[in-house]
Amino acid sequence: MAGDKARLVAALCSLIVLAAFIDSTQSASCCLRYSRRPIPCKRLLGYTVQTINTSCDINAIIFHVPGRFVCADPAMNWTKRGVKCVEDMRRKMEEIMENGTSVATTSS
Amino acid sequence: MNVSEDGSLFNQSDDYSDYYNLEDLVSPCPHDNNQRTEMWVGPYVHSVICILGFLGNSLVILTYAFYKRTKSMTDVYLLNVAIADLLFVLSLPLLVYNQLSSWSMGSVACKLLRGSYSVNLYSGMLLLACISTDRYIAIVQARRSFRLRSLSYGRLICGVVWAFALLVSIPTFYFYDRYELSHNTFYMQGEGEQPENNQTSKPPQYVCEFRFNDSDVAKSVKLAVPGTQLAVGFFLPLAIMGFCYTAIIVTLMKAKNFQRHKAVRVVLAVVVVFIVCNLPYNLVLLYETISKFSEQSCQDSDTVQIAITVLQPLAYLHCCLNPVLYAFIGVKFRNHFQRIVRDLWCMGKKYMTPRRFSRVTSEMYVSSLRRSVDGSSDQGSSFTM
Repeated sequence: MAGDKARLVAALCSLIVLAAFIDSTQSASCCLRYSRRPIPCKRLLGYTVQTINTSCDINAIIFHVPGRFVCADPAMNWTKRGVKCVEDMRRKMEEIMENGTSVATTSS
Repeated sequence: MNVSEDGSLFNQSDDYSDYYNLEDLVSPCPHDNNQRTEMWVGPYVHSVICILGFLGNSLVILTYAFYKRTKSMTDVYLLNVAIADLLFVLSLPLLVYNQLSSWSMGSVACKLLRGSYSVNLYSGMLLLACISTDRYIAIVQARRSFRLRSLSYGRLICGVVWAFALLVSIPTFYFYDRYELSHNTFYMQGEGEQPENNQTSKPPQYVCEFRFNDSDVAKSVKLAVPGTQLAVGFFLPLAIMGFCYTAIIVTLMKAKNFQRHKAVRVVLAVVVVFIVCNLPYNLVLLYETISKFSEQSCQDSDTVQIAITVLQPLAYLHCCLNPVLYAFIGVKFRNHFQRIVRDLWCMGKKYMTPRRFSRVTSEMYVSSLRRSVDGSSDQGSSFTM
């Protein structure tokens, strides 16, 4: 009967080993519907494009605002404005960064 | 996703909090409850299904390989169902392992596992429909039986079924891909100031999902693949089995044979198990497919995903029950099977030192199988025909 128990323990152990992989379970978080209210441009930190070409089933723009992500309908005007706003700001930032580094290199 | 519902965004901001309610802002849906359910169903339930399915189906294959020659169309079908089911349950642990380990076996494994899953699903279901037509011809169309139920026809039909299963699985082979879980993200302040985000956190998470270059293709394939699975992988076999077994039962009820009640019971068991295992999962899949491209609430979607996570193993369980329902229920097959067990036991006696153990398990297995086919164990002839 000792062999019996050993087998049982072995079987349980293999289950637990399988179960140990659980923590890394991961799946994509998708936008399933859209926010109705527009978000003012000054709140936006960035955005992510969600397309139906991967595991998500609707197209969306995911805006990053402090502390959360907000789903927006890419067809809405405020969404397009928001994307443009982020792009403009990004360009401005890049210019500033470039100028900053060039100033730094000339001064040294 | 660390989108904590603490509303910190709204407290810290000035005019913002008056203007926006929490409900107005929609966040990506993390499917928390479904992930929690998957953690349990994934490893535990699937390992049980895998072990049971492996035991039953490999015994059927062993029986055909060593003891019983495939003499009839029925034999060919039963052997092929067992092969399809065995391949299916063998791919399960690999699928679960990869899903839990961020597809560590790579993108070829992703395509092969998803693809073979699909091939085995289709061939298994269609072969069950073939078995029902075989029995229909044998019982209802008895006069044509000899011409239509030859061994070579059986092999030909099995070949056609496997080829067809492969054909309808091509989109799965082609469009499934292993890729890193990240969207195209743009920040205005460079890389430094990103908010905490699961999607871009390290280490990179890989998934094995559909991937397309074109959104029109994406839309049609995302509907066509589950649509075909529903139509060809469930409703078509259901319709064929429904027709054939209804006709069989009608014929059996007319016959004046003392064994007919047992045969009717076997038929009913086959149909009931098929429906109980597969109908719930396929109905949820149908609902999910229909509502796919429309907006829905996170809670509803989470519930649907939980239903799929729970009902899918029930559908898989069918693979473990097929050997009992189709092969072991036949008396001839059971005799062969008992010979296998006896021979294995003798071999075990020769080669294994802890004798007692092997005896106990094999006896337990036989008795449990006997119990499971209880209704027909005293039946005079087999229903395998």
